[in-house]
Amino acid sequence: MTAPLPVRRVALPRLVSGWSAALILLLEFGFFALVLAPRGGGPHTFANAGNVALILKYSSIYGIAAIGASMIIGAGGIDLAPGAVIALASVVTGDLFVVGGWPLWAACLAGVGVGLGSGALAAVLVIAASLPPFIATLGVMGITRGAAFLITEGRFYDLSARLAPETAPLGIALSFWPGVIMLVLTIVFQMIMRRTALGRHILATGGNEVAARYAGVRVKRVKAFVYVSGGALAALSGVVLAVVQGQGKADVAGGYELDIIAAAVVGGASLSGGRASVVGAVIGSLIFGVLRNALAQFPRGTFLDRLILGVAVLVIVVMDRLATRERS
Amino acid sequence: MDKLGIVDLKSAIAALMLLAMATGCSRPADGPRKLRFAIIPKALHIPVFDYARTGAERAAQRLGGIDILWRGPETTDEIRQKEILESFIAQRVDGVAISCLNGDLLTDAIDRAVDGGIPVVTFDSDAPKSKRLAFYGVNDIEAGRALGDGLAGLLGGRGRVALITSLGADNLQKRLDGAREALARYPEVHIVETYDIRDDALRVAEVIAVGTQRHPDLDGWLSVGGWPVFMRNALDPIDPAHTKFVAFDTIPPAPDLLRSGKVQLLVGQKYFGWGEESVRLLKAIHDGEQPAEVYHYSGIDVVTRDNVDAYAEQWKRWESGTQD
Amino acid sequence: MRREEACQRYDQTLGQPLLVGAGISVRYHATAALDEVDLDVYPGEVHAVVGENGAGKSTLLRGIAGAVRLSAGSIRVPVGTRIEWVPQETELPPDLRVSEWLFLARELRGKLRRLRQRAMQEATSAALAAVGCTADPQASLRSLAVTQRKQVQLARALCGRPDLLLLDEPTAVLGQAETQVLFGAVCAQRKRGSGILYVSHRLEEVRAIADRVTVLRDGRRVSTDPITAVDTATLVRRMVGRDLAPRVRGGAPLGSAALELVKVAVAHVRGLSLTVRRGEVVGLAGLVGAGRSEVLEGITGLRPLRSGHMKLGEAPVLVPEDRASKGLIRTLNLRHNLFLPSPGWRLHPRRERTEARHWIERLRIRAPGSEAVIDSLSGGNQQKLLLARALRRQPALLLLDEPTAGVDVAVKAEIHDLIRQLAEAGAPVVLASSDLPELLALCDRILVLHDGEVAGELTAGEASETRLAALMTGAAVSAVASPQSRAESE
Repeated sequence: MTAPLPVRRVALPRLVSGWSAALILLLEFGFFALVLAPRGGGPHTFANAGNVALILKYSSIYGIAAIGASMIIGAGGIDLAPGAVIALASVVTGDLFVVGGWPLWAACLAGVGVGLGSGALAAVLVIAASLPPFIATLGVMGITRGAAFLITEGRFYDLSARLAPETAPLGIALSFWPGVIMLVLTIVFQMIMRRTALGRHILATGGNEVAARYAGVRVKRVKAFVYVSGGALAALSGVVLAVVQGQGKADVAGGYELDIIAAAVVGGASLSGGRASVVGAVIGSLIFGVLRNALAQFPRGTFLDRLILGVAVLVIVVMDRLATRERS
Repeated sequence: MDKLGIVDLKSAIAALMLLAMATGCSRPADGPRKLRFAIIPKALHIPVFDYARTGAERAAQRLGGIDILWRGPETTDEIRQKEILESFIAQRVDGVAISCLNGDLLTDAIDRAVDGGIPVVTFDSDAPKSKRLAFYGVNDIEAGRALGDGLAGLLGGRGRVALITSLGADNLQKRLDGAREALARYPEVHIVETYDIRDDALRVAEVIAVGTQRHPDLDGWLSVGGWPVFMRNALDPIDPAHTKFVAFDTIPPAPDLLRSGKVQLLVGQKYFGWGEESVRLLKAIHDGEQPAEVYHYSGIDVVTRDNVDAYAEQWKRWESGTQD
Repeated sequence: MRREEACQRYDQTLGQPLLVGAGISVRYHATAALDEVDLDVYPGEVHAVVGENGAGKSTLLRGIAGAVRLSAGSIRVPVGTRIEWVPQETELPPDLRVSEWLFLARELRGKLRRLRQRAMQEATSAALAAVGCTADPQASLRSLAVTQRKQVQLARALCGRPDLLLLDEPTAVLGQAETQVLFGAVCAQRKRGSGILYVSHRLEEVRAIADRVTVLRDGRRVSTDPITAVDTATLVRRMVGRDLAPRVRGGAPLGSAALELVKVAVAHVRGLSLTVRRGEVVGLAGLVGAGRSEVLEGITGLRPLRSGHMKLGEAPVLVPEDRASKGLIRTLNLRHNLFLPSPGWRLHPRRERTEARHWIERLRIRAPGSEAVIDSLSGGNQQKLLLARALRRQPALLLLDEPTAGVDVAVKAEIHDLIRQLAEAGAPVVLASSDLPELLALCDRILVLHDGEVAGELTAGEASETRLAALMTGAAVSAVASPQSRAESE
């Protein structure tokens, strides 16, 4: 009666989504490499190691924070604070290092601590006060950005004055640190999401919080984890920004949260919860990073920044949704 | 007697009346009240305005009897700035000095203030169609020309250059126009690209890096704003031996960059002057002296490595208020 | 019976068919949910569709309603035929009000296209009354109990004045009284000349309400007959493909107490005292809103106890009702849902896959494999998955809330077997159900709740449907009546 049906792996939709982001990235890079190829020989200004290093460096500010965003979205929440947290972390690190005279590692740790704090605040608001995450993180965004302005009163901290240009912690030049950190964190958090129970519980919570709770998942702990680590990751972005770019300022990263969320969504996160990919989010941030870099290489390209990025998000997400619907 | 908790009603009313009188009466029993001048920068986070504030407060101290109300939008939010201006009009301050994010947007609010008896002056960024009584600042077109001429001079009148700006602000656009005008007079100078960095400090660094990638043989960069000289590491990709960099604004740490040779020429404004002159003008208007003409061009400071030390000395004097 | 014969009999009396389906096929991934099914529905007939889990009944209705695309075949209806579909699931937009939902996309408008709120509210009240629903037209859908949601779905469908009404397990979440009202509404539709396609697992109901019955098995049509021409045993045999012997409960000595509740108050339930011993199956009966689910949630700790105390041996495991919203997580696949929550901190996918296959076999879950997408499983298989999830944890106390809702005869029997096996193995079971025969068949004792209070407790020997119903409704007179719909309509 119940003849066993052929066993087939039907987990394709999620897997392909992660792969499709990588595919988009490769196609995009290839496209620009073609279009920006130098006419009449000469070195390629886009497809060379130095430029790739640049892309990695500037994408990392978004990418590190996008890792946190993808986990939060996977858990069914959302975070509007990353841009403001990046700013506050850069300000705190700058203040402690330049004015307070703290050693660099201590100032950096304090900067990350800022993110732990803001993440904890978001967690308390969402879990204890049951505020919708949109509202809660909107509030955190205002508080952190406001705090950054309060501390700086319009000034900025010039970290580069106190950092020797040849600074190379652990033998890696400062310029490469953002990319290295992003890579390491991608691996770590991808492992957490795919190989640990916590990762599964995060996606369960996002997929159907009620059912997850009934099944015995500790939903409150899951939410606390994603918001606190999301805050810490955004703060780490800010610390990296401050140290590598040499400036701590209250108005940096304005509006970055939208790019960060877009990177996570392009990488496979579903805003209705339950689906997310850390690797995808990082690839998403690279997709936008390649786009920003390439735009700057087109004549008058930078004037189209916002427009092109907006269109790109729409195109990629629509394509992805259509592809997913065909499969199911 | 009715009780509100532990306080009975009559005492409560008495206390409230006392409180109202105390806050309502801001003037002391003797002496004239202080003049309240509102000074509104473009945004609180733009570093150049800090010095304007210092200048304003020193002038207030020197002239006496003046309170400076320093308020501005946190970010370059035009509507928020208009809100702040209107709030000061409602508070009936004695004078307003403002650096306009969008002069046209603020025009009718400024007109209302002036018609209502509140004198308004602008500094740094003007609202030319409005009834403001004076404008103090650089002539942005002249300033742009100085940048352009300065760069062309450094390049010996020949080479490929790139420009950096941020779309939106009127004064930046004027500087850009002035720079282009100046560079146009050198037929062997080619503008390879103009970059819009959306007022994003990180983007400026990225654009300089990518621009250097794209055009490795650039001879010079010209920035109509101070972003690259505030984020020092932004200039790392540039080799000063082959590529010259000129920029606007001379506030610290820009002079350091001149000394280290990363930047060859800076055009500075009279930052302290914005505050000082505005206060002086408003006080004068209050005393019955209308300004003879509207435009008070402050002049610019062109700083190179040769005169950077002298400039730094001068800066110290401005900062401590020992020189106007 | 061949299709031509069935058609001819009705052709003369009922006119043109409302629906003619030929060769209907729907394929999901590796499963053929429907395979070359022919079907027709005539005006004024109730055409029942029965079959075991995964036979394709819901898919058939989805195909007719247009919610799923056919892989092959055709469905033809006369132009302008109004079709209304009441799906099995009771998920509704939580923030809409009842009256807003009833008139969604069909709002009554007056001058300048303004909404006629009062007219809609009055119409809503009337529509709710017609299906026996006591909900407030202004209530939000979120606040409704499952039964009320089903009734609201029905009300909306009826408001559409359908020519063809598709009902998928409409009585799965309804109590006896509500079912009677439903039958009345169905008969009224029949009288106005609508055709009704009625999917149900409850063969007694089908016998009461239907004119013709089609049996589906493994996605194929097995037979279509007038209801008078087949008996229940034949239907079951065709559905299942084999004979099912009726089950008898065995007796076994009881062990120590696994759960003790003393004067417990949780949610609106109060004064509940109960002891459950190892090897026992204790039933919780009651109407919707009596508090059964709340009690189970209180035992698991999902709801705080307001007073009284509880002694538990080990942590109990709850299989909640309403598997769509409280049970399964659609964004995860079968294996992930099975291993929730994950023990330890590391995941072991290979071990999980092996164990998942074991559970699939043991509970005979029809699925394309351990990585199956939840949506590709039929309702009954989803329920089995939930049970597997609970059983995996080897619970010392198993709490089941409506474990056979929307599940058909054969699978129901399987689940009942499972419950008995568990009890005999020593794990006690507390079973909350609105299915009185189920309670009578399985339980050693049945506790009846009425409006948050314990109305009574009956042992297996004392209990009968009549007495249970009486306690449940709080009435001295029996509220149970056998369906008279056929007699009424003739």
